[in-house]
Amino acid sequence: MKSKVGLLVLNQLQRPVLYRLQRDKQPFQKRIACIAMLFWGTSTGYTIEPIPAPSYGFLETYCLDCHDDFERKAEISLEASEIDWSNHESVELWERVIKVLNTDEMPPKKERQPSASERTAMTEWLDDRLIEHSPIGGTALRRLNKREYRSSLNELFEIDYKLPDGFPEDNRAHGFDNQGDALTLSGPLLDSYRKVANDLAEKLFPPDRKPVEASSFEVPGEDFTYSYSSGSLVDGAMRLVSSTDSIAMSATWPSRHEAPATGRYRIELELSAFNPPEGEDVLCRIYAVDSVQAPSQNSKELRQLGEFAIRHAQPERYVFEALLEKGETIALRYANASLKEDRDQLPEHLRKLFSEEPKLAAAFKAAEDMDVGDRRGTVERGRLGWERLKGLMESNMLPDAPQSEALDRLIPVVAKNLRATTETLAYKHYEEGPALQTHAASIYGPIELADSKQNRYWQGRSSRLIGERAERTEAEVVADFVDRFLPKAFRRFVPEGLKAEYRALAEAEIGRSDRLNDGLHLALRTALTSPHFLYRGFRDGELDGYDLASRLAFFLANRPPDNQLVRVARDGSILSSEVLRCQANRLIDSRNARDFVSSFLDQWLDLAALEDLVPDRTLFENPRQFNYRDDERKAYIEEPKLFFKEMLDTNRPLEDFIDPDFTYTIDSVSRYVYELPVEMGGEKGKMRRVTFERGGRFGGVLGMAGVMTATANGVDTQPVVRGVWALENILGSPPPEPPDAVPALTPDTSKAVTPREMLAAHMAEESCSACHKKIDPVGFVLESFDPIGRWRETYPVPGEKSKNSGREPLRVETDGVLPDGTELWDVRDLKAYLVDDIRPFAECLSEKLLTYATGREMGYSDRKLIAQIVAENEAKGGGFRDLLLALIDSESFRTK
Amino acid sequence: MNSSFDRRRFLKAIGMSLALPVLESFPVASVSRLAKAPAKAKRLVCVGANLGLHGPSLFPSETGPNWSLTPLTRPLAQHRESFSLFSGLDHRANNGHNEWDNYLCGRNVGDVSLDQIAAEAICKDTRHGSLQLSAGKGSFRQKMVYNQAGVSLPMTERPSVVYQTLFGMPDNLERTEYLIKSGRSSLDKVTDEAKNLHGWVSAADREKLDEYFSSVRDLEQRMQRQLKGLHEPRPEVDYKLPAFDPIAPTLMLENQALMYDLMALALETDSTRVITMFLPGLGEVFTINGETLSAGYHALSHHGNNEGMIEDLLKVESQHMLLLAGFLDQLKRKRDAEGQPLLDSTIVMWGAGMGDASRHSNTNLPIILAGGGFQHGKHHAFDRNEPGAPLLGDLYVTMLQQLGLEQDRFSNASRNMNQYLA
Repeated sequence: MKSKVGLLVLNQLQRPVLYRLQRDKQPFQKRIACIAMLFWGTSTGYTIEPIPAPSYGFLETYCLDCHDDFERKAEISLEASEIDWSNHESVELWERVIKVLNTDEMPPKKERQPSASERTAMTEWLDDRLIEHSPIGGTALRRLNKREYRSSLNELFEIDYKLPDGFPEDNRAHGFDNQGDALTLSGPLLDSYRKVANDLAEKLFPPDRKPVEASSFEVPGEDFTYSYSSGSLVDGAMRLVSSTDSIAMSATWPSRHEAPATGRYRIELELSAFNPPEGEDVLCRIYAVDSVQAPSQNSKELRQLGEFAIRHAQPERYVFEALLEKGETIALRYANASLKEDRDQLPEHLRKLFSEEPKLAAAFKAAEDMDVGDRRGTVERGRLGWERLKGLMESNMLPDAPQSEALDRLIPVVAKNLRATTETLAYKHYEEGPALQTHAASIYGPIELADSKQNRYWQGRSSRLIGERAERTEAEVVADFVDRFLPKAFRRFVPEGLKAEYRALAEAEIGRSDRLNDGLHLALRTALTSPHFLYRGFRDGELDGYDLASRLAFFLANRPPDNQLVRVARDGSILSSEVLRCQANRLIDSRNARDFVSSFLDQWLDLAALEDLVPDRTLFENPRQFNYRDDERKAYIEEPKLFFKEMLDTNRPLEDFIDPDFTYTIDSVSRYVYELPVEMGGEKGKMRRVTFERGGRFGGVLGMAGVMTATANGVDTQPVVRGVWALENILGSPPPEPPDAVPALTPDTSKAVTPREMLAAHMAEESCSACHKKIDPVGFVLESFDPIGRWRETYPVPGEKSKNSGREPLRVETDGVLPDGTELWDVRDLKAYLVDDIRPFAECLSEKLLTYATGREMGYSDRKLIAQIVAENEAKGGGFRDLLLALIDSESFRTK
Repeated sequence: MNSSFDRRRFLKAIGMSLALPVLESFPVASVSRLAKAPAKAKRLVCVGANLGLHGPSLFPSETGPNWSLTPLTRPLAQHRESFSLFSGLDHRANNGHNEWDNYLCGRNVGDVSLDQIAAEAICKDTRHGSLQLSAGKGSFRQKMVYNQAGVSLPMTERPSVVYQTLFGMPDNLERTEYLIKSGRSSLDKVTDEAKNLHGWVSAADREKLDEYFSSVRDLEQRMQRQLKGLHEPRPEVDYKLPAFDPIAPTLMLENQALMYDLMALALETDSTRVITMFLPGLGEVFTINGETLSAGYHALSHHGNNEGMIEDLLKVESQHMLLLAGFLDQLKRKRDAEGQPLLDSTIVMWGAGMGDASRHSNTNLPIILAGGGFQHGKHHAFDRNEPGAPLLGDLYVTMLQQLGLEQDRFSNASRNMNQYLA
């Protein structure tokens, strides 16, 4: 492009001059030089253009009365006689001007109007300038964003890598996380990339395993830990009494040991049985637990290392060998204890105890019947409870023990609070048994190092990456690796010179340390922090085969180009419409398209917000029926995605986005949120396709519950928030930013009652109403949906649900008038309005898709092209898929 | 049109890249230099609350030393001689949530922030440079810290990550050392690649590559520092984090409490000397003292003068003040190398880039300044409409001077407020 080349040329000449001046350290001369160059740059700049006389005449006659430097209505002044096209704000301003001229919004109806030919002349001139100065293209050189980075790593190494917790999030712009101008790079982020690269290199090309000297770790009884009353130290021995599955509630483990390396260890335990049950052994099971995560682990999922049947009261030695992974330790559990926090087993245990010790039953009953203060006398959890029971059993006020039916009634009551009762009884057993006693443990090792599960996994990945090492020299391994890996990592053809540099880097390192792995390690992490890997789109203008393939793959599959795409990129055939569309279709039909739909909708419709949103409990009048359980939340998020996928797969007309006859949901949502008839007997929690009549309130981007929930905040709805959202994402006419220097308003909304009244106070101010007359009618129409997407005719009455204060619930008033005079009664009218002329929505959706696909905001020329594509698609009777393919095959998509 | 000079736009017009050194003729914070005399304050902590505070419940009607307690100063009552309260200060900038970001930058969002200017001068020999924290998620919407290149620095949201960074030991010293040293040749190579690319990208894209260059430089310094720190013994701290990170929005207050603990430990062990913490204000629906508030924090802050909402909002804001009081407690109890309370040589500023979230007004910012060896105890009230009224930037100049920097301007401020704090 002419202007850019010009600037490049200037650049070459300017630099040496400035450098010399700086060395001279003469600030005054520097300043003159700077100013001189400013004039040089700007006088030869075609970016500052004077406004021609006829156009300026138009401005003077019809615009400057309100929009000059003094009045500055809506913060806009058009008084300047030149336009600086290199200034982004200028471009945006004049785009707004042509838009309001084209829609007849300006000059305002009550002011003097230009004639049709005057208006046309003005808009034609502006159109011409805007096309020249806001051309198609303009994506900045952009780095991979977090999800693209992750999927690139996963594709390169065939892994499922999780980025570390502290990995920075991306900045967003224009509603998306992949916009070139917002994706900045900072030292901390580059550091994160470096750490990930190091981590992967360590795993794929590990250093030699360091010999670990075997050592002995002694654990006396008091160094065992436990939680939730799962153990008790008595006379220097740790007693275990329960067989609950959860480690936190049944087991004990050394408080300070963790295996220093993966390998075989010799473990010695000193164990005894304290008052075992008649004729029964105490079964001690030993597990491998993570020394940090142990409390949250469950014995059913853990690796069992050994098992011993203990019957002697005297401590005895038990020895065995086991594999421990690095960071693990051993946990012990009394596997066959009768006491267990289990709904079925606890009542059994109680029955047994009560038959052996009727006084215990009497004590429990006495405690239940007692009134302690204003509380029913349930037995406290843990030791305090056991002390109380003991006290009751010893007192001479103890009533008779309950028998037969009374006993049958008592047991479920005591067992009702599973955890509390188990913990209370634990203390009985700590004192009286049966219990497993651990007196000491000794862990010696590693006797022999072993490959951990992780090691073996990465060895496999490494072999796939570099092939077999046998029968090849080190130089060959390095050369082959560089040859195959670099083009994949850099997503394009890599010239021989660059490959040679990487080979040299690896070989120098091998020379230094005499290890092949070290060379490969260094080459790998250098490639993963190279700008060639982290960035894409180095060349301006029309995209070449590789860049086009990258753009297509990251757009429709959220990953770098696969082998087929690389082939058509290499031979250039992807540049033809036929091949480009064919590849696009292939990607849309592939499994990976799910990632596109998910990522795009998470952002366009803000469904990502639903992951963390916890609706206010008071919204659920009948929690048994519907209270936004996990599967319901997932259904909210999944519904728009399945809907969108069907729209794409079956090439439905765009009107169906607004007014469809189907959606996807689960039974409980269908019945309690949408109130659609649903046949019983379906698989619970499974997404089903449901159908309904068009023209109603169901389905589409203005009806799906997830969309309405994401535009509220879980507690209440705000018409302005939803209105702005709809204007930005559905109608394609986002309201401008509030003017900068508008003084902060202090509307007194304390007397307003309904939302409409609250907002009416805003409409009274002229500077507010200009935007709010567009926002509010749309927002009111959407008030029919409560914060979780249910249809409502009235607002809920605050306060106790049962005590109705006699106040009339407020009716939801959804009627309004759009700025063009269209009357709306409720959302059905809004839908009809949009369906009547689907182009604004289609253009909006197209703009969102292309913004997401190209990583830039759509400029004036891009938008003109979009309008053209949408109109052509409509004329042909094309559907959504046709539109998407046309957008992909457009100049906007094919240009950087 | 905007009269303030935009350095970046100017450079773009004459086709230059940011790789060139800062040209001194522009009113931008110049490279900080340390004065000869020993500084009174050695550390700086800046806390920024996304939603500010309810002004009428914070600012007393009296000025000077004898001001009466207000609902939001009550939690700080026992520290009243250790802090100063400022009302009526601002940056004379625009209103709105986006402009909140200029809290530490001054007039323009994106100019180098106060803490980075200080860090460049006083964090040279600590194991860590400055720390940027956020009490939970929310950092991707609002930014608080901008470095010299105008890039916003990411904030750490998880206490466990902060803990590991400050006090955790690398598993394998020798290997870690090797990785850093060999990492240098790695960085050299990729820098060369970027230089080659510089030649054939457009002028606009050169700015992007310049981010790469400056990130590499930053990383080199970090690695250098890391190398040095490897052999230093880790500070021993007797502190245990809970088993899980309170990262969920409803746990933001718990997260804040942990962050304050970690900040105090970091300062006590001289792991760093400049810390910023961001307090997000999004959809968090808090449960305080067993009671769930009636709306999300953000909604409460946009109360439109509704009394019920203000009452709930004050519950959240009182928690902020309570946590601040706890932090000041810790700094008073902990000692520095000379045995003096940490607070005496640590400047703590609690404030916001927005004065009234309900009206989106960025004037009359709530500023609480504690410690640092200043004279405290007074409420200083200003009126921006009075001629000669100070800017918030003037206070920043005073703070930087107290830290020992030779600084006489900050963004659009060119005076100082020394006379109020002497």
